[in-house]
Amino acid sequence: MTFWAIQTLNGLSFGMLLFLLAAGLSLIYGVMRILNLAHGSFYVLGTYVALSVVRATDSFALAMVAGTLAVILLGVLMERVLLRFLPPEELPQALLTFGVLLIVGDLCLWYWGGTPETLPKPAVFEHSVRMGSLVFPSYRLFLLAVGVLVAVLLWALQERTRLGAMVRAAIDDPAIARSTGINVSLLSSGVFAFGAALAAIGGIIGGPVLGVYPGADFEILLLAFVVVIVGGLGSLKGAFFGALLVGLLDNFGKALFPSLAYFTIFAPMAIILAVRPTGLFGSR
Amino acid sequence: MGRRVLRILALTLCLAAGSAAAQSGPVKIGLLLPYTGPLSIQGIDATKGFELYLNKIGMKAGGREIQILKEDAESKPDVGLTKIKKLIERDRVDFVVGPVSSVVAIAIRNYVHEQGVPLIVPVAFTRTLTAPPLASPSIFRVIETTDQANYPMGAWMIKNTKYRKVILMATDFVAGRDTVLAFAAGFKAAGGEIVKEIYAPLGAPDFAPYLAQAGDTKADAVFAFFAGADAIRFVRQYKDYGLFEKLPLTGYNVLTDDTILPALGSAALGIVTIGGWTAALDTPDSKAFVADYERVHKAWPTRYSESGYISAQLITIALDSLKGDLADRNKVRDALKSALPKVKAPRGPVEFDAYRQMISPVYVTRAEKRGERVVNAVVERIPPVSQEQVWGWWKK
Repeated sequence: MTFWAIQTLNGLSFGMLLFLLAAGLSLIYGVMRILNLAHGSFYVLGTYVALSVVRATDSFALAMVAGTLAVILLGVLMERVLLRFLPPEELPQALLTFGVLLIVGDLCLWYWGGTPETLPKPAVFEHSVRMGSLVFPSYRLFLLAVGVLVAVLLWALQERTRLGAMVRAAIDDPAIARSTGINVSLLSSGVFAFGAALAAIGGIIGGPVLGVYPGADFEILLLAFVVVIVGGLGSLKGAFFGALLVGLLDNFGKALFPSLAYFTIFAPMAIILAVRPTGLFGSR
Repeated sequence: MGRRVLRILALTLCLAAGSAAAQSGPVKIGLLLPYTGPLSIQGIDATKGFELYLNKIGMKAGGREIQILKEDAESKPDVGLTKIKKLIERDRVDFVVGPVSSVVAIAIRNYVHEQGVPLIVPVAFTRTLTAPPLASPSIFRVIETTDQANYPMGAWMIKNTKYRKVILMATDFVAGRDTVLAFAAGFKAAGGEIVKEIYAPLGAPDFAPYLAQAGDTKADAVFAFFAGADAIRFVRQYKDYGLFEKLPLTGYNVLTDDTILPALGSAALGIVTIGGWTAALDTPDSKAFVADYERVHKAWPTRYSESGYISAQLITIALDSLKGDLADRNKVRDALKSALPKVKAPRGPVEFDAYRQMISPVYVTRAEKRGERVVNAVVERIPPVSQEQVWGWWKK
């Protein structure tokens, strides 16, 4: 019984981390039609910057702010300086963002070294929660809470505010949106920076559990892709439920069939793609 | 025709002159260790220990300068093989020190054997590397095999604890499996029972799914092998899930390496491990080494620093006895073989067996608090065991 309870909680909390990553990726694709391979860089760079800050100041909150800001800066730079001047074709975009992924990865290796690092947990979450025979680290419950909170906020932002309506309009038809007076160009920059920030936050709050190491950018990117493919590209709801599904599959897969670790993620993905090529909640 | 013979002769002479010139130049030692990836901690520490000794003697031995060339083996067999080929064929090194990963060690074994360049193995401890048929006259290992430490641990546990049913947990690669299975063999021979085996991939980002499996099993203790960054995440999460009160954690020394103890902090307390050396070992040679190392690197050495330190001594003692003349490979091998007993190893007296595998004492330790610092305090010294005494469970 405890086995199933713990594994479910594990899967959900891991799913929430994936949601933060996939939401940004999905949002950026929705508005800009850019499949941003550098999303993995946002994740590692944010975590590494946070690591340096937490070591210097001992403050997790400060590290969170600094890491996120650094990544927003990179995101804005990328969007304004590089992506803006590319033709709206997939291949040049994929190559360019992939190049950024490799460069950021190597710069991180050069500056932070090759040893895998783990962010220290905020002291409040050092203890574990006990319910009968069930022992569960409080930090993972915190992850769960952050994920749900971000999901609710994002949903409210997109469905209940004027800004959200503008974003939805830009997703559905950029040309018409532009003709009604929406500054799609500025909106794109904003969304790109926001998506990058989500990836950084995911990396930083995931840092005490998953850690950061050379190659983490690729691993995380792969999982985030699986999530958006399962959930449907460009859909927030898709990112949320896709992330939960992949988180649970990954956990139960590893616990029940350890030798089939990746199979338990990719086989369901293949099946979903065969039945619904647009993903669970994708519209096109 | 005659001109052609002359030309070949001239060429041969040039080559001979070249190699004679190399004899008077610096001695080149290639370090084939991981500097990135999950085992980079081991690679970096072995390098620090190695350089500590060479700097102490002024980077000179047998009347020749010593030059170090470092290559990152990344713990990947294909990368390791490419890098050792580069070291031997392009840089023409005289000795290679490495690797850390047992998988890399197996991958480069045939190449080393064919090339005949002496390989000093400071960390990779898979049992097969120094046992026939893989044992090679060119391979010298200065760390205990997985059998030499873990097989005796089985008997020790039956004699000194109440644990009779044990779960094995390890990284799913050759060193991990070799380690826990050697323990299992010794434990079962002494009357214990293994109730479950759980293997996680190297660099697993999250151990939660594996820990939940262990928590669900009725047992007295866990015996584990996780190294480097994996060990940090594993031990922390083990405590986070409250497993330690239910299932005391024991394992091979990599689990609580001195280098990761500061990162583990109080999460390490109470973990009992076995291994070749600990920085808390209270002997004059060991204390001197720790003091030297701490002065230079501002941190405690680990068992990898220690075996790096032994590797450097081994090579320089051999160089001294050869007076720097490395022309005859057989003489170099003999010199290396007879150099080990002269090495002042922090772990205690050491020597090679017939397969050039080190025989040394091993130590059972428990992570305890000494002042502000968590250390692996020695619980018991287990007298030297040779690999032949403990390989009977798998070697027919």
